[in-house]
Amino acid sequence: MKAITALYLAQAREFLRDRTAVLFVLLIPVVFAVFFGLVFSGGGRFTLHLGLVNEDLGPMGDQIVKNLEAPEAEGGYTLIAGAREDLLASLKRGELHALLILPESLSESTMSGQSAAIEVLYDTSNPNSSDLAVGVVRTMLNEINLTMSGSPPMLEMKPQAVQTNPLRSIDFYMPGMLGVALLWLGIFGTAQPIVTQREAQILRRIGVTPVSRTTILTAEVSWRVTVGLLQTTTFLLVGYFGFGVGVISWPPFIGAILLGTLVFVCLGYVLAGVGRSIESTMAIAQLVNFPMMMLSGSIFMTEMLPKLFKPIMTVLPLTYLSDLLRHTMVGVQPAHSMALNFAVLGAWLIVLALLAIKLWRWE
Amino acid sequence: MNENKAIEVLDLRKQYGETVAVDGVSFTIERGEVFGLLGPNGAGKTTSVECLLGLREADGGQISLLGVSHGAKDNQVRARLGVQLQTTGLLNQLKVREQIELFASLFPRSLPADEILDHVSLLEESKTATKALSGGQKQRLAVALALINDPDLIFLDEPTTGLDPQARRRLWDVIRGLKEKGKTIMLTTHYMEEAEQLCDRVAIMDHGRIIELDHPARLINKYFKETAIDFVALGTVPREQLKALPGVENTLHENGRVTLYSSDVPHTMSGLLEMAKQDTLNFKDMTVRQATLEDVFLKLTGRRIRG
Repeated sequence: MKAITALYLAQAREFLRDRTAVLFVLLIPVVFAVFFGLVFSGGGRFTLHLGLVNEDLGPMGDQIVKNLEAPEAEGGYTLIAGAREDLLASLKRGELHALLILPESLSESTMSGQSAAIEVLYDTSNPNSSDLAVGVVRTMLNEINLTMSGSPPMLEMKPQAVQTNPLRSIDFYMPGMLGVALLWLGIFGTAQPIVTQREAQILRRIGVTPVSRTTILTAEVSWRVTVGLLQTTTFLLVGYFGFGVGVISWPPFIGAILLGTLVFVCLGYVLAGVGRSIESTMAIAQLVNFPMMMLSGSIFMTEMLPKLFKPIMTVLPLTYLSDLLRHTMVGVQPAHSMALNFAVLGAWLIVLALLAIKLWRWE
Repeated sequence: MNENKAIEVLDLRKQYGETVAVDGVSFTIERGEVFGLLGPNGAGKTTSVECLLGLREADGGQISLLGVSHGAKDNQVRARLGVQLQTTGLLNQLKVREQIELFASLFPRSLPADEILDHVSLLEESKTATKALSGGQKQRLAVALALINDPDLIFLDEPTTGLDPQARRRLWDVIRGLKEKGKTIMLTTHYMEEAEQLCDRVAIMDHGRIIELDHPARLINKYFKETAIDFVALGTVPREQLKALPGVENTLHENGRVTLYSSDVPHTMSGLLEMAKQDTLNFKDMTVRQATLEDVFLKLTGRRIRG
């Protein structure tokens, strides 16, 4: 017991006095979470900017313009009428999301009972807003069609907003970055110090004392689990007092934190086992770090990523940890069932622990 | 095995791929003895020590420490060993005293930290971070860690390498003090003087084999009844003439450095001075000294131990 405590304390001091380790493992993740949360918070509703060019020679065009400008048309858009060249230029500058052009022959064709084509130009650079713009325009035209045909609408929409717990950016990033923090505990808090200590032959030196190797590893792993808990506490303190992000259901949350910590600490030991030198270990670690961070839904929503990455996404342990943390912290409906999340993490833990033991080297 | 023997090694072998690092080494170290393993870099000294400590798996041979076969695998034996490795194996962020206390708690029994620090003159640095220590201070800290458990058998692998002459002498005093307390010490070194000063017996190692093993003075006596005269020759060296000088038993030439082993120093000297007078020989930096282990090594291998 005396030996375990001393080794635990020694690891704690090595970690806490190493500024880079403290920075990367304890501070940067929570700073990132807050930063992303604030930068991407946007705020307010999304407003669509539409342009309208009326080239119709008859009365119909004016009628449509009047309709669209009518106060009851609360489609969440603004309408700017103007000349074709001006509005086309605005569209190209990205000031408008879509541009409607009523043709010269509009009145003439509709009067004679033919349908007229209304040109809709839209900006494709932002797929979200362009989809929205096309949808809104379609609805508008449907309404105009109905009005013009004179028949009363059979079904009428009565929009009513339901107040759900709105998900803010910070709600998304706090659990996501906590997952990344545990990943970094594996890389910067486990793989890196282990290889450094191995290169300094510290483990060999301790190996010629009467302390068993199990004792050494128990002390080391216990300290790293402690770091995982310190990281979690930091996130909860900053999250709760700064942004009101706490924990909704504690037991699965604690389970997820412990399981996640162990998974990534084992990953750190595997990386240390694969790498020959500190340089090669950190290079390999980055190969794991980047895809894990980017493709696990921790920083980017998985829906935003190309389908191509889907297979990688489904394999990464962080995908499931982030899912668990988001569900238990802010109540987001999980993408996978809780049982599946825990099962995948558990499977990873077993695989990584076995690999870590197989690859372990004292020197 | 015999409890009176601190170390018994029989036919130790270790190979790295094709390279034979240790090629059938056998020796016995008595309790209370200071035993030196002497040889150039790459002779197999460190590999031998690492095999003894169980840090490397030997390919063949028998090892017993403190009367226990494969003692390095036994926790009770390990508790009685003090080890200083060539790579010091220190945790960088720990302060000197914390480092001592860490190792102290890894043993069932330990000496007070201050006593040990005082012993290696590091008491004033006890609050200094290990990473801020000089090379020599780290070396002394590593020796301190080897003493923390008041061990019976101490391994020191090149303990004075990289130390300045003053620090080296201080460490010699520490080692002499340990010997007085009856500790058994096995040390490796490539400093002949160190071996002569400290060791009861030395084993001279070269290419993985022990080529001589005896008390330093006896070794010197065995190979050299003569006194050595060293000088640096300027210009051409009349080798035959030097060999023919009265009393000269053997000569050695090395990059202009000449050593004459003489059984009759006064006559050899006057012969040399006569040559100088006649201008057949020009020299500087002449010294007359007793033969040393360095001369023994040179005679046995044809090479100097360093370089």
